[in-house]
Amino acid sequence: MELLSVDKLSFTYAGQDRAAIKDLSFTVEEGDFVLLCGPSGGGKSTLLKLLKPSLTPEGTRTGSVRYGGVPLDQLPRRQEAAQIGFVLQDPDSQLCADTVWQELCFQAESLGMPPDRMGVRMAETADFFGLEDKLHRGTADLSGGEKQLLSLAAVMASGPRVLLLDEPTSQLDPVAAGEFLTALRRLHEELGLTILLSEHRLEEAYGLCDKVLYLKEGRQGLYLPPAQATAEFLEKEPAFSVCLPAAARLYGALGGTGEIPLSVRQGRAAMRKLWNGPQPPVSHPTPPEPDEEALTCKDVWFRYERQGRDVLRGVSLRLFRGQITALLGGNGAGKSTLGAVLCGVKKPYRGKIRSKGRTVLLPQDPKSLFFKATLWENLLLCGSGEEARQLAQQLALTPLLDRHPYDLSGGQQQKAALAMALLRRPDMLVLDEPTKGLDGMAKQEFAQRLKDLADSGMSILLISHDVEFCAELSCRCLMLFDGKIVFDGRGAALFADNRFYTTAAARMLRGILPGAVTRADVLRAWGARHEE
Amino acid sequence: MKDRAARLHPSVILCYYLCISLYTVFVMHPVLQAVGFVLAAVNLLYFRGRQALRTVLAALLLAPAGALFNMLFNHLGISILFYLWDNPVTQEALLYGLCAGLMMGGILLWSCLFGLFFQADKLLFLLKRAAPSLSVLLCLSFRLVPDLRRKSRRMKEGRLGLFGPQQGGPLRRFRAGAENLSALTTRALEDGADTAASMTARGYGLPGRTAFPQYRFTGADAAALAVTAACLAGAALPVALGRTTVEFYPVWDFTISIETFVLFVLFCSLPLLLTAKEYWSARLRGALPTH
Repeated sequence: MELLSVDKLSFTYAGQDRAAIKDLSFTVEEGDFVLLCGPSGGGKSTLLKLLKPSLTPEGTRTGSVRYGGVPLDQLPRRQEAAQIGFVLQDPDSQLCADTVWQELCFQAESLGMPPDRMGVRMAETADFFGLEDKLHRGTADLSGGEKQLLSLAAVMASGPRVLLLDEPTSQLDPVAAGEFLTALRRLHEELGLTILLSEHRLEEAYGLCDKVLYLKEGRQGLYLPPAQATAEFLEKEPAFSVCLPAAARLYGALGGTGEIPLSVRQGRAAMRKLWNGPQPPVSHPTPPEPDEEALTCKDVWFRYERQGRDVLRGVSLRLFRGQITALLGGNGAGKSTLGAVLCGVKKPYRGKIRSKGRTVLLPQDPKSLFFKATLWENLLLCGSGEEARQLAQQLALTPLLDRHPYDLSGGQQQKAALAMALLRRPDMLVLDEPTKGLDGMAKQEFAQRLKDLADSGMSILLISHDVEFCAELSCRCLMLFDGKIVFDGRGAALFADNRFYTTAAARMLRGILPGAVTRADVLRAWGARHEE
Repeated sequence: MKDRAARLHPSVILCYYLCISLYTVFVMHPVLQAVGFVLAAVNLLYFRGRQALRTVLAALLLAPAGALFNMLFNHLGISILFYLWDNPVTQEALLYGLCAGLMMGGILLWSCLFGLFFQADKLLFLLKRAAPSLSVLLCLSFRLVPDLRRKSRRMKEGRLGLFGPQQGGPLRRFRAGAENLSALTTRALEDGADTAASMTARGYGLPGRTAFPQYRFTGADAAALAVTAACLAGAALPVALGRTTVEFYPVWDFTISIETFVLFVLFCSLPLLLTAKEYWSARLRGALPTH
């Protein structure tokens, strides 16, 4: 049964001349899980908002959208609120209540559900999402992942038929994102819910969906099941295929024919067939060790509360000029805290930090650096007009200089914050989760920029959950666990040895091509083998 | 067990607080005020513990403060103690001041006790039926305040990480603070737009908003309400009938009937008596929790 049908939909935002969406036509059957993907600014967010009348922005719309046969703008507001659920991107700002249970019953109360039915409804929703023991906690005390799950539960409490999600995992760490997508999978399989999910992180979401809808510059690229879509991407959209799951990309790059694997498990089977037996281990060139120190940290201890637990327990490390160092570790391991302590933003109660030159910290939330109303004024806070102009040009920010920083997209805000940091001419730059919410192509560009900065002599500390990104940078890695540094060495050595905390390529080729960590390693080994 | 009063229906707690506050304010009787103050202090100390000692002492200071204030500005009364700049300072003014100070102290202590039992949740619950939009607004505000504090801290840390420790004198620091405030407001508005979108998407603003039945009005609540009303009537009636009187000017004089005294003491001890009743009935049943 057709639940949503879109016919020649076009939309232009008020006050703009370029259409955000052009001529989209597709239908979504009941029970379908549609993955919306495409480069940033392609119109995914706009499309999702057009499917939810109370969130539709101002602008001119042509074409039609039908929900269950009824034109969407004729749908009564009560029905629309109850049957079409929407989950936004930011875990913090979409919550409106003080405690978890109040958030859960917000929608039921707003829709006028009779009070004697509310108890059961809350009970079953809390049970499905595992929120029973968290009911009386304050929403402010939850982690990012828990908040997003709560938002999902709050929307599901009234039993919608369609769920629209606008990049819900972009602000979450990989573990929390995985849990969220698992909850979505359960909703899809156990309830047969119709889901439209817009995502950058295709590695996991790709395997969950029934159809992939690709939007590029507002136009419909393709609308196919994932297996067929992959073939199309690899053939026609090489730039975007950077975002595809590693299994699919590798298979395509190695010239595999036949069914394209989408998950690591399928990828392993495919790789075994392709490689035909174990291979000699991949060697990684060791780059020259730099000698000029940028920062020394000796036996640093830190805790937040006087009687609380220690977050950092005797951390000692050295950072060098011209080197990119990645700081990895699980959630809550203390990476951000260590970054803040190294920059002098937080002070350790024990231990010494000695840095040569200026250290600048780029926080997780770039918005907390924007103190002025336009991008240009923010840049002027950090450096002279001439330098600001030059840097803006380098980072392709010149057309955005008059805009308010909050009007920029996530990736653009990241670049703007980076520009501000660079204008301060730091000798050491600490970046806290800079790749959050960036798509594959933006990450490649960012990696290149970091390499250029390191080449110019800057010392860079990259705090990240993004194992793939750090592996691509092939830099020195530090791993933080239980407040201590448990690994300090080449990333390749770390990732080649780990089972869980490693790249998809390494997981796929474990036992087949030992030591392979990045796509480049695999391609090199393949090339070398086929030369013999 | 100590929170028995907190587990009453919110309307009962509110009713008790209003009754006792109104009585304290309107019946300006020295004996009743003194007794009321002592009992309020006992209640607070029992339910809050040693931390309340500071509050009690602060409230107690209001009595001499009131006396001093009244002595300086009110010159009615017969028994003159001394002259201050041609103005008579009388004993009656002193006594009235003490009484008024005790009243304010008493109200302070009752309000602290009320705060212990009546949390934000309960206010929201009562408002949800009466004024749904106001309750949502309050709910958002409760979330907003700690949220804004966190955002402000992040901005300060961002500034510290970008520019290093603040250089320059008070003027520079003031400018930085103003910039932070402006940025914080913008941020709050921006995030507020997102919250509004999320709320609208979930049907906020539709007519016919209901409330989750968090607190049910039980028989015990009805009984508590009845006892409160009875005590109030019993303590107020003699005053109205003239069996308990007080006069400060021109001569200090008061009478008190025994019913007024007993019923008022009972009235002020209701939270303690309620807790004691529950404790003893549980103990006699052998159903007391081990800690």
